[in-house]
Amino acid sequence: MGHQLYESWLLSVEPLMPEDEKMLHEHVETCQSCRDLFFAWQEVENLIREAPIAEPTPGFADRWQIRLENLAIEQKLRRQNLISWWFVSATIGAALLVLLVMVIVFFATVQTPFQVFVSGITFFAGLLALMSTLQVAFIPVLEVILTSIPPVIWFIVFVALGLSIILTTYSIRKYIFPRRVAL
Amino acid sequence: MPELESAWLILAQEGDSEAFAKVVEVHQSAVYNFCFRMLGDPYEAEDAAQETFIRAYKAIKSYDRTRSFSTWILSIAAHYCIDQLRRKKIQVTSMEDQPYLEIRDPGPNPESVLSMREDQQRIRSLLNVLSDTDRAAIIMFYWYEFSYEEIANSLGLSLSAVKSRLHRARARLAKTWSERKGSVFGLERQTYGSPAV
Repeated sequence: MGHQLYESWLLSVEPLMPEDEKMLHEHVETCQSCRDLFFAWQEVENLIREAPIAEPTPGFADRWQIRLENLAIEQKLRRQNLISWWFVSATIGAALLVLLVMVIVFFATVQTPFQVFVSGITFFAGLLALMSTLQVAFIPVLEVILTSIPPVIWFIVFVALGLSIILTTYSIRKYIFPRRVAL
Repeated sequence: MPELESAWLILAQEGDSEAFAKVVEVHQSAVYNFCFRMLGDPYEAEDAAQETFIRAYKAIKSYDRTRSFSTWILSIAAHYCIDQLRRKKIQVTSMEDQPYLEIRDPGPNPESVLSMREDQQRIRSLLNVLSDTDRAAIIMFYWYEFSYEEIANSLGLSLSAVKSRLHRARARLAKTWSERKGSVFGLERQTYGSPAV
């Protein structure tokens, strides 16, 4: 019988049959390598069985709770960033789509570069004519308004307008860029 | 499982982190010891134990209360430590580089503390020769007295694979012990001047 079976018996934690145990005992008495293995394993097993339980440093559970809280904050920030990026991407995407539609509509109406040029000139000329008409129509009205309303009211209106612009800008900024939290 | 712990686990499954912190207090030593035996470094063990509890907290709803919680949590620890070991090769560092290990009841005698530290180094050095899964199986079998079935369930192995791995690991440990007894371990004893084991 080879060493393998005896080695297997030596390292087994299952109880052996009495006749197997006797055979093993006889073999170990005559075989140096199996005897060495037997004593080596005995020493290793004792060393392991006597080894103490390694303890974490005090405050482990508190450190765990802090770690959990930090993780929750990180996840919240990540979610906010994702929403912000999604919002910005959706806005850019919508703007690009509108631009694309406008370009398609524009090029669908013209066939040659000359027509594009003429259309552009016509558009700007129309715009200037519209502005001129508005100027003629509204300047007298504006003059009446400016002279009839006292300067204090104008001051209040402009201050309120300025504050509302600042508030709107701050709100948009807060929504798009989440506040940094120290971890 | 004690009734109080069961109550904490029920609360934790309902999302109560305070209740889970109580569970952490109960199982911290077991999980930390497992991670320490697997990784061999107190700092990495602390990190791995913390991460194990975080993962357990996230997956607490999937925990089956009819099963042992310690088996479940150590299974998470085992998978995490095996992943960590696979990510980077852990090198055996010298005892001088290691911070002191917190040992339960170290004893009043400084010599016994020194002897314990030497034993710790021997164990770490021995466990390092095993593959990650064999090491986890040995730790579960000897430190936690897990049955073959529990080890198989925790490590996702078959029963015969567990038996074969444990046998192979024992042979490897015994052979390594025989080879190193006269060299590395002998030198350590000479360095620290403690009596032979």
